[in-house]
Amino acid sequence: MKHDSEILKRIKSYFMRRKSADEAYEFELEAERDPFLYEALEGFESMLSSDMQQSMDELDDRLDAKIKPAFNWASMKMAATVLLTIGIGISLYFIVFNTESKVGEVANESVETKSYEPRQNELVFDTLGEISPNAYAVAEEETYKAIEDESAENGTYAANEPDLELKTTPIQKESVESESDSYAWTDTQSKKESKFKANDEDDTIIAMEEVVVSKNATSHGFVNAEPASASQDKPLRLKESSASATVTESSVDYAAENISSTEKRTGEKLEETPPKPAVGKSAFDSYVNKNIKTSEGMPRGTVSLSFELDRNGIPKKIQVTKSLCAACDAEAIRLLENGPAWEADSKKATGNVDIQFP
Amino acid sequence: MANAPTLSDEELYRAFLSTQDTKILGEIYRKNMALVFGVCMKYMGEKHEAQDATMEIFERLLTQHIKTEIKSFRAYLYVMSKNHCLMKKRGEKVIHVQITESDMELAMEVHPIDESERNEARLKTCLNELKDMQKTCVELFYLGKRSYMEISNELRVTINAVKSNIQNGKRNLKLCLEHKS
Repeated sequence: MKHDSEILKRIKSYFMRRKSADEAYEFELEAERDPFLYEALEGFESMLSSDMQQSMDELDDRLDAKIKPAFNWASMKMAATVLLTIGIGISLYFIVFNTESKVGEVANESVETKSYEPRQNELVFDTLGEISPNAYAVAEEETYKAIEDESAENGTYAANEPDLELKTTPIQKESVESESDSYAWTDTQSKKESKFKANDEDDTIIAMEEVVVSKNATSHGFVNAEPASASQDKPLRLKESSASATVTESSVDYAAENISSTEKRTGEKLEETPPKPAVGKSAFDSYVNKNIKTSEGMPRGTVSLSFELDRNGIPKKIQVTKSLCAACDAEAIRLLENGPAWEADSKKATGNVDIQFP
Repeated sequence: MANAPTLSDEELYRAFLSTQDTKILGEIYRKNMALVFGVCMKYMGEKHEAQDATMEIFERLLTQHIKTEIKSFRAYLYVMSKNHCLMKKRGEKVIHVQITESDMELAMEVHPIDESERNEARLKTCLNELKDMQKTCVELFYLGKRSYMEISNELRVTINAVKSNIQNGKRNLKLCLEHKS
């Protein structure tokens, strides 16, 4: 977003010397009377006005990000969509890649075994009158080589010799057929083989489905989720069962729906766990003990604080829930503010901490 | 106070204090952000550091609630920005210092020469006691109503020299006026 506050416009126009001498004087006089403006102008002196604008635009965006939590949520949704797309992309890539390499091998075999007869027939029909037996033998050899090349190149064969084009086309068709056969075969095969490789992707997909499905998922569905209800509290096992659900393929949608609804329930449970210091409770305690500044006359006891976390895990909106003394409260807030970051499962977590005064 | 900011900033700030709506504070801040950034540029000297400081000051505004009534949001913002940058610059951990009314008054104090009703007679006598260059610059600016650029061209000195001469001249003028009264 472009920052276009009145004051920036005036500052820019002053520095770009767009103003007449009188206007410039008015602005300078205003600055002489207003130390805020005066010092700001001193700061901008070293900057190009384009740089000024760019810096302010960047700041505007950062300000937007801070005042619009909804914006963050939107970007999270975006990220989820991108992740889903990438997940699908990767799994497709794996499936196709595996299939292609299989097709290469299979096509090689099938062309060598199956396509002998049609090729001979073809040559008999097409070339009997035109090609001498000698040339026939040569052509056969060349065709054979060409087929080998072709199958090695996995379909990227382009007919270099116009003579052979006719003869190889039906064979190519044949190999395409066998390719589609083998595709079907390798598809299931690679599904089995890439079952473990694709596990991650499956998880991602399931997780993404959760976003969509969980909107409709009712608690009724959750109650019905018999296979998944056993693994309520174990997301890991949950994932395993979801993976197996995709393999069995029967009533996948139903299972996924149930599973995702349970996952949502577990997700809610996780959200309720309070934030804890990212460095660990004991490390946080030792940080407090090390940095706490006490003065004489401070009473012993605890100050209880409640706070929210920003997206960086920094405590914000700190409030004293149990006061000890004004200085103690301030010190406790200082320690929390300058202390290590916290981590929580949800974005809008509210945490509590007690600071002990010795 | 000369150049008093519009009432709306203070009203909006009060609205923010009662509703805790970050959007309101965001809009007041956006209006004044260029000034904050400029001050941060002056003290931090580097663009990215100044940008970081500008955002930190906003966060402080969000979390820190002044106990006394704010007469001028702008003055409050100015003192806060300056404090924050100075502490950051010194490498100190920025702690929450409660900004008092007197801090703000001191920061936004208006020089006698900038006041609309000034005692011309006393000013004249004190002006004559200033050093040559300071006197010339102050006279040209305040009485001659010339811009820095014009004075700089006229006296063949840099704009910065003109500005510092005016600043120092004003300081000495103030001392003289206080002494005389």
